[in-house]
Amino acid sequence: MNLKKLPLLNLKRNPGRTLALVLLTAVLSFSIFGGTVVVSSLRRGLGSLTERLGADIIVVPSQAQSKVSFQDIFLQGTVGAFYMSRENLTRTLEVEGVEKAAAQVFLASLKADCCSIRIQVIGIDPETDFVIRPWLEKSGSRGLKDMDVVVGTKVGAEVGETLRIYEERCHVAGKLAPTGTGLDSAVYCNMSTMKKLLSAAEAKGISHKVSSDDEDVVSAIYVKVKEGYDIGKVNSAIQGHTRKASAIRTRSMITDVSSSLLAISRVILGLIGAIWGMGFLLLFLAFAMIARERQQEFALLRVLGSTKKALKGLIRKEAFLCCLSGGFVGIGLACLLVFPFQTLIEMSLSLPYLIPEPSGLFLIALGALGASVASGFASSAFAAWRLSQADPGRLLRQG
Amino acid sequence: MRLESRSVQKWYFRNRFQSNRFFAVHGADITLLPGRVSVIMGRSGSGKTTLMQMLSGLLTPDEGKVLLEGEDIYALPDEKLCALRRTRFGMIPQGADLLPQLTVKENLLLPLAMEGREKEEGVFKMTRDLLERLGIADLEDVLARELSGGERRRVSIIRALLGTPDFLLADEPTSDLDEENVSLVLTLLKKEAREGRGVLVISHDQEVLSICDDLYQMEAGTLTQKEDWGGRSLLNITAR
Amino acid sequence: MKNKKTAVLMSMILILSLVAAFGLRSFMAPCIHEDGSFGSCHWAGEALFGLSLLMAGQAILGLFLARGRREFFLCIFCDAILGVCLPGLLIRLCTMATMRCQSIMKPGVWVLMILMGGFSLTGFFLPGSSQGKERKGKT
Repeated sequence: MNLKKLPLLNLKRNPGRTLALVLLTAVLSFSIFGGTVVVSSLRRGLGSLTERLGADIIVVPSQAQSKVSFQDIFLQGTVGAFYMSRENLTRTLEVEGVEKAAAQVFLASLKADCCSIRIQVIGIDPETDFVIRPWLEKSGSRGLKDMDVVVGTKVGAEVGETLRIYEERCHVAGKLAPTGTGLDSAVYCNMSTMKKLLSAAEAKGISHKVSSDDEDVVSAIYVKVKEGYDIGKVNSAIQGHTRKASAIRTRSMITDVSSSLLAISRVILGLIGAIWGMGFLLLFLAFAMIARERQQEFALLRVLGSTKKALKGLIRKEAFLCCLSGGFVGIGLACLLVFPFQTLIEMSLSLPYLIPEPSGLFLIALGALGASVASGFASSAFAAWRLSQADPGRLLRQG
Repeated sequence: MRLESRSVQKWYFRNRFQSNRFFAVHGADITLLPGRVSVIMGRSGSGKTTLMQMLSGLLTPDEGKVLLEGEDIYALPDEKLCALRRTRFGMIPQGADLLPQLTVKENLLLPLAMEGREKEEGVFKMTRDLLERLGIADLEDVLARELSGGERRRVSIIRALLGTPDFLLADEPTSDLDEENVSLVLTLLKKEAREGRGVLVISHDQEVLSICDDLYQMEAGTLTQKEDWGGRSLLNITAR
Repeated sequence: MKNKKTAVLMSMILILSLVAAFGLRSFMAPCIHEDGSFGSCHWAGEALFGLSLLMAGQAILGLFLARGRREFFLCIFCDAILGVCLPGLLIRLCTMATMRCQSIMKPGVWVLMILMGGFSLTGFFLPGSSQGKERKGKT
C-alpha cells in the first residue's frame, strides 16, 4: 500500500464515478480545442487569403456579375469561367499609378480522369504573374513547361501523374501548398497550355470567345498599385479605362470575408463559453455531490491521521487525474472530428479555412488541456476546502 | 503517560436559529492510564461516541481540555494533532470504519503508509498473525465493500493494533460480532492493556465488563465513574 | 467483471459497425453521379460496406461466444486497419477533396474505424479483474 497510489486506486475502483467525471471534462476540452482550432483555421485562412491575393485591384469581366462569381472561385473553389478581351490588360497598364498587372485565364473542365467532376483550370503568364508564381516557387515547383500543370492541394492527382482535361493529357509537374482558399481546388498551367486547352474546349463546343474576331482573352487582371497612389482613385481610373470590365478592390473582398469570419468566430467563441460555463457548473456540482457522498470516507482518513492538507491534496489529485484524462479524451475526440472533416467544415462555412501549423495545434491542445485541468481544480477546490475544514467527528456523525 | 479530559463539554443546536442548545457531553472528566481498560457504558445517544471523538482529537470540545501528558492536544497545530492520531492513538471507529474501495490489506496498511512505515520489518508478520487470530486471513485481498459487518469490525481492530499505539480507543468493538469473536476481540484488547497500552472501550454490551478495570456510566451527556467497580471482572478471561 | 467490460466493448463495436454499414448506404454514401455512372469511389464504398457487415458479424459472434472474445477483438482490430486503408490508399477515390467521397465518406469511415480499432485493442489487452479477488463466501 503506497499512499501516493491512493487517488489512482480510488478512481480505478469506482469506474462509474470516474467515467462520469472524465466525460464531463472531455466535453470541456472537446469544445475548447475543437472550437479554437476552427476559429484559428478561419483566421489563418483569412491571413492566407490576404497573402495570396497579393494584388490591390482585380479586374474581371462585367459578365462575372462583379465580384460575386469571382469571389466564389477564389474563396470556395466554385468552378466557373468568364472572359474579356486581352486588350483590357494593355489598357490597365496604361493607367497612371499601376505598378504591374498580370492576367489569368480561367477554364472550367468537364471531366477529369476518375470521376465526373469539374476542375477550375487557371492559366498564368509566368513572366508577368506576381500572384501565383511566388506561391509556385514557395511550393518548390519549377517553371511551368508546355502541357505541364501544377495542382492545388485538394486535387487528388500526384506529381508524375497525368490529368485529362478536354481530352488533352496534362502532366502533373507539382503540387501546391495549402492556402485554405478556393485556389486549392484549381489546376494551374502556362498561357500556351491554356491556349491548347481553350482550343480543345472550343472543339467540344464550349466557346470562350468574347467576339468572333477576338480569340485572345483573359479572365482576370491582377493589379499592383504604385506606392503613394490612392488605390481608390486608381480603381476608378481602371474602371473607366477598360471595356466591359469591373475593377474590384481586393480590400473590400477581404473585408467581406473578415466580417463573416468575425461573425462566425463570435458564434463559436460564444458556444465555447456556454459549453464551458455549463461544464464547469456541472463539474462543480459533481465534485460537491461526490464530496458529500464520500464524507465518511474522508472522515475516516482524518481519523487515521490524515492532515487537512493531505486530504485536500487527495481530492485535488483525483480531480487532476480525472480532468487530465478527460482533457486527453476530449482533445482526441475533437481531433477525430476537426481534422478528417476539415474539407466539410470549410465547405459548410464557405470561408477560407487553413488548419494551423503543428506547433500552433500543439499550443492549442496544451491550452485546452490546461483549461480542463484548471476547471477541474477550481470546481473541486470548494469541496476540498469544505471537507478539510469540517471536524472529522462531525463528518462521521453526519455520514 | 496519561490521556485525560478535563470538564469537556460539547453542545449542539437543534434548530437553525441556534437557540435550542443541548449538551452531547456535559463536563466529562476521564483519565486513561497505561495497562488499564476503561469502559464507558450507556444508552445510544448518551454522548459516549462524542466523548471518545474529543479524547482522540477528532472533535474540538466547546469547553474544557483534553490533555496528553499534561499538554492540551487541541492547542496543537493540525499536523501535530494528526501525527498524534497516527502514532499514539489507535482508533476503532463505529460506522465508517474502512475505505470501501481498498482491499483488506490496503486498509490495514493505510495508517502505516501515512507514516511511511508500511514496509517496516515485522509489519507483514504481525498483520498475518492478527488476521489469522481473528479468523479473516483469507480475506486479505478482498475489497472492504464486500465484507460483512463483523468482518469489517475485525479488520478495523487489527488496523488499530498494527500501529502499536499508546492508547486504543474502541467504539463498540463487539457490535456485529458473534459470541466467539466477541471473546476473541475482548481477549485481544485485554492483552494490549497488559502490554502497557491504555484502552478505552465504549459499549453497551455487558460482556465488555469482563475486561474492565475502570467503569464509567454515561447518561444524557453526563459521565460518572462507578467508584465501587474496582476492577472486578465478571468473567475471568485471560490473554490466550 | 472482465466479461462485462468486454461485452460492453463488443456491443460498442457492434453499434459502430452497424452505423458504418447504414451510413455507407445513406449519409456517408460515395459520390452520386447524375448520369448513373460511378467511379472507383463507388467500389471503395461497396468494399467498406462489406467490411462493416463483416465486423458487425464478428462483434455478434464475439458477444455470444465469450470464450473466443479476445481473438475476435484481434480480428476486428485488423478489419479496422483495413477499413482505414481502403478509401484512398487501397481503392482510389475521386480526384477532388471537395467531393462527397473525400469529404464525407472517407473521414466518416476513418472516425468509425479508429473508434472500433481503439475499442478492439482495449478489449484485446483488457487486464484481468482489477477489483480484488472474488469472494468465495462470507465468514
